[in-house]
Amino acid sequence: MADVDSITVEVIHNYLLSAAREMNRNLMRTAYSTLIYEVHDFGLGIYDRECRLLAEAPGLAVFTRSNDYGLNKMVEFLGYDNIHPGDVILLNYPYWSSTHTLDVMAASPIYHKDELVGFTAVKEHWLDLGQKDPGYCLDTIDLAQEGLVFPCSKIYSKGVLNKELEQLIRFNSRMPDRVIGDMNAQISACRTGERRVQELVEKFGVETYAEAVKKMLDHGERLARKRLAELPDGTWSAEDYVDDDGVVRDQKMRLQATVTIAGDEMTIDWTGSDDKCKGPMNVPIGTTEGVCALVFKSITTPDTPANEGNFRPLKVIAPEGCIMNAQPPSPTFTLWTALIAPEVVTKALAKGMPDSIPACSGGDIFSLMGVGTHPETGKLWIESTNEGIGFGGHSADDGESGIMHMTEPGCRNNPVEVLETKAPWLIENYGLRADSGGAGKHRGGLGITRTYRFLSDASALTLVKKTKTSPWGMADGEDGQAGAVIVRPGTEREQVTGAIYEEVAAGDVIINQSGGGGGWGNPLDRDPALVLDDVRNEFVSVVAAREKYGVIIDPDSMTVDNMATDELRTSMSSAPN
Amino acid sequence: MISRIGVDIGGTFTDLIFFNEDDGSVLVDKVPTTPAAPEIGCVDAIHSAVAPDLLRSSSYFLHGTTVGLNALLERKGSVVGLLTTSGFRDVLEIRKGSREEWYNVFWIPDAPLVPRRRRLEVRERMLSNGEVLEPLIAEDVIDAVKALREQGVTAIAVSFLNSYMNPAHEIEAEKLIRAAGFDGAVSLSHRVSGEYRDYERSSTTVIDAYVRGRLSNYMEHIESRLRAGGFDGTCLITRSGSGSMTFTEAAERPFETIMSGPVAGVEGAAELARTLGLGDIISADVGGTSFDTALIRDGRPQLLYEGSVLGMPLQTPWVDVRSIGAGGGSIAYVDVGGLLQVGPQSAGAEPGPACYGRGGTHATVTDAAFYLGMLASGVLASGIRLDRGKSEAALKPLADRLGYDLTQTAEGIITIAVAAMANAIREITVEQGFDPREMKLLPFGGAGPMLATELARELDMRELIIPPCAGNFSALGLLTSDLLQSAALTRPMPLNDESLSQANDILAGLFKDLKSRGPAGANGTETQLEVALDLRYTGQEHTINVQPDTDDGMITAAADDVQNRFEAAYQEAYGGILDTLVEIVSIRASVRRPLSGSMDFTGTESSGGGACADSVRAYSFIRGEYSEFTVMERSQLSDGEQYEGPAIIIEPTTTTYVDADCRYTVDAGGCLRINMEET
Repeated sequence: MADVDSITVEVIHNYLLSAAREMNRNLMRTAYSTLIYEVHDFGLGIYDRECRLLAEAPGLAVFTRSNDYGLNKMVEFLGYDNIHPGDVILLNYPYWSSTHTLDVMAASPIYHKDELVGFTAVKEHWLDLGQKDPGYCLDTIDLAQEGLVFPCSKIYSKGVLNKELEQLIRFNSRMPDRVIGDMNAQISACRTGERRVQELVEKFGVETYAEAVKKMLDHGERLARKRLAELPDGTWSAEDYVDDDGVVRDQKMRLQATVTIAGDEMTIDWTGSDDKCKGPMNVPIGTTEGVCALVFKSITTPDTPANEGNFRPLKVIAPEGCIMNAQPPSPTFTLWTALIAPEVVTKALAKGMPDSIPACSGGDIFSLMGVGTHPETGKLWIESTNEGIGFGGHSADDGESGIMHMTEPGCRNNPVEVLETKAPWLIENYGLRADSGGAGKHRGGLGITRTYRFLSDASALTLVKKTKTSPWGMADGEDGQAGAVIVRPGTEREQVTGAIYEEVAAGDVIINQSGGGGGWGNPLDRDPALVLDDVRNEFVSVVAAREKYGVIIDPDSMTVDNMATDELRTSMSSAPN
Repeated sequence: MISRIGVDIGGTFTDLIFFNEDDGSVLVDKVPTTPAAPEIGCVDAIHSAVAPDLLRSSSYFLHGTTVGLNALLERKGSVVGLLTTSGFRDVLEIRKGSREEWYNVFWIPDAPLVPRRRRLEVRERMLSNGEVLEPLIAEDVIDAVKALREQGVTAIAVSFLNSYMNPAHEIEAEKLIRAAGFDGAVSLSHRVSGEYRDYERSSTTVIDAYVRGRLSNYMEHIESRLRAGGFDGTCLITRSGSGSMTFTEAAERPFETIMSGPVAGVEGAAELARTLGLGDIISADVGGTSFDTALIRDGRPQLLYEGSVLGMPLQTPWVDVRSIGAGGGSIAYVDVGGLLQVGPQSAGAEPGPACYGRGGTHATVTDAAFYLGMLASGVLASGIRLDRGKSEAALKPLADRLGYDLTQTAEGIITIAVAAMANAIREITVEQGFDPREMKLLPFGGAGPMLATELARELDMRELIIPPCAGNFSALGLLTSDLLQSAALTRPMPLNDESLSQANDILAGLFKDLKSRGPAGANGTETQLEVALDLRYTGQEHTINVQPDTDDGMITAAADDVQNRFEAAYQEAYGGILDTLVEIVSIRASVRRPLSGSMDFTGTESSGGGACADSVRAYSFIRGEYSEFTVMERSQLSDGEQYEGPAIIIEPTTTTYVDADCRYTVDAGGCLRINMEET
């Protein structure tokens, strides 16, 4: 085995990160769908031949680890003997690809001469594969309703396009041009990564490359173990609820996570969570591993790029058939359980380390999608945007307002002016929700509200599954305001809800409100000057300043009445809750 | 060429260059930057270096500055108020919603330049097709101005939705603001940018309002002191999007100067490439804290149409200079996992690298280079004599942790710094579909020529060109600048002959608008009108910029021809074309006026330099061991003679390290050319 010095390791590491970034830019430049180039609804990475993650590039954080699982399944299914130079393989069988069917993974093997040296994988959201409903499905009851499935199908075989497969896709999609366009962008990104890794291996030789990669991953593992060892040992358990499964609408679903830290190892166990559900909220085990890895990374090595080594000290348990370990043919389309899950883990951890964990965020990605036929062009349109949420307050500071959920940190909202150019709707307002952040010594961040008026008949979908429980506060901090979707406000048909998929007529209005973060610490301990600042910025109302924080502010002079505040705070702190 | 003065203010040093037309001589100077008031350091440097009669006879003062950038970095700008469409005051604060540190749930963006209490909403609404949905309510503007004045606002930015399609309400708002008696700066979003994307345009407008006062005062100070000293010429400042603008225009469009500093060097590199016919080059400017690199193709730097500072977007032409925190002062350390890392922390000018002997104790890239002998005896132009013992002392703890000797450690620091720089270059070349192996490397800045051969090796590049005055090349670049003004408008429409005719109507308006910004300040040179279109395949978002054939600022090309150019560019960038309709997204107009007389780089070669030994033992990377390196003064090299490496070449403001596998020569243009052998 070649002896590789640590400098070469660092050089190779940086090169791989640069290659992953290049794949990312290539994908965004060539993609057709706003979901990719604006919302960054994708995940990609470079892997070694054992399918271990070496470098990734931003998009959706939940995707990358799920690609790890998918690649392993792909190799298991096809066998190394059936993977050849020039192949590009599509996988979206959810129990393997570890997201839903519309998130299609494309993977290409990387060969140096005749030798397999690794893989690139790019997962991206395809707009349509003939699933039950256009745009998105909220109520499928089995896999067969969820669209065309690729069980490791080669779109390129030895460098040659598989025209039959391309046609199959074309004839099974409601938006064939955009889907094929996005697929080509995805393939081009795979090829880019492939080329860059080939150049790297060419330069250093296979042995040096392999050894450097091994050292790089071992280094990633050391960083994680070192940090874990500094955290307190213990076992903590927490639960939270997903609104419903999309089919049985009046029943919340329970998630339970038990987290154990022992020395430099961590186990996350989902035993105690609800059994599989009827609707499409079941989570494949690879996805469960992905969201656990995301939390694990954020508390151990948030400041270094991710690789497989980082995750070695983590063990994930989910009993087969429970909601966190879906088995075929359970429906998995909506997947939202996986977005709620990370903060069930942090909620458990918070019990052991309240100073290192923030209170709950707004808890969801608050995605709204419109689907319709454009009155001018007569073509099907699909446009969507996700909204930021309030983050939880924590021991050091307030939570931030209006940033994307922890599962989608690279995701970006769609500009109002772009949305209005591309689809027949008017955005009537878009801003932060006053008083949505949970009160606390350190206040929770604010959620966002955005109002849409549809200008022609269309369908509206909202992907929101955390409205029935509030974002939890910590250390005597109060809960943040939960998010909500308000359909046709102020009319007889007004409904305040979460996920919807329904027809809307020209003139109908939908308000999408994202959740605020939970507060951290007793609100009565918050510096009145900070409360005043919040009131001046209208993040907090004068009434909430008084009722939640015990701070009396004169709205005309915008000053704090210190004496009255002291009195009120004294009486509030002695009053029973 | 007419006499002119260039001053480039960097984070560590202020570089001055003076070109004297009488005898063709060039004078260079380097003084420490005075961060608290760079305008004072700038003028002092001119007065001390340029004699009063020469100052009087100079026609141009050309300036590259980071003053706008620093106002943003240090948050020392105006108290800005923002007027927005009712319901949209938080666009600025919500940003794109993304998190820069991907796994850090505690990450927070910098606070917006305008806090929410100074972002006031007024009732008005334009539709995305430019129709008025709701007229502007004058009373709202008047009330808002009153409220903002009570909050001590000194500049007002106005950013209304869809104003790129119809600016009427913004124009009306400005009148109302003035009528209400507000006499501070007013920035209107449609004047700043005619492109869509509400957050990006608002951010640019707010930045414009934020830096306006600071930049105006700064320019006034410089200009008045130069005038007092007898200077009678034109004062110009470099734009982020290349070219220069007059101080007068910059005071109106300050957001265009944010990247003024780093762009100057790239401009010089482009001019050098044009005059000497160098083909495609990559500039590599290595200073104390940062590495700035740009790709120059066909004699022009690559332009982006959006820049960003501290995560705040600027919707304005932006020379694609990539900056990373790697320079001579970058600090090396061993991370908790036991790997050697370099930067982005820098020892800066104070205390500087350990070997400067000014109290620095951290090992920097310069310490590693000096330890390896790459700086020869280590006597710098400024008179600093580097201290070898201090370099060793700084390297020792790292070596102990890594289990390496000092040479291995120092070599590692150089290798890692160079690898990071090479990656930045890969992002502007390989990633864009360009092969750096077919290009030449142009290193400059204090530490560029020192690392150049290692950097070229990492990228498999064979040809290096060390320009004249390499240590001060950014300032030299200023002297070559053209005057440039530009404007753009977003108007999505399918590409056909009819839409090109509409584009011509738009261009006529844009050029008229550019002319109304006043004379650009250059006399007696030909004005060039430049036109570009942002095109894309319908359905895609990202555009490709195409220059159609034009005559006097009007497009003469047929749609088919434009489409062919678009497809050729697309093919080059992405390796294939699509069977999809092409559409026009934005239309761009520029007015370029070259300063009279182009730069002649001969006669600018450096002379002087400290006394030095004839040879020194230094580390050869290619040999992996110490070797005898010839030490030469650059001014002593004879034109056209071929020399063999290894060598270290000294000049007043930089040192060039030439490894054993290189040959070098000085060409007739005064450039030091290095060729690396095939490995």
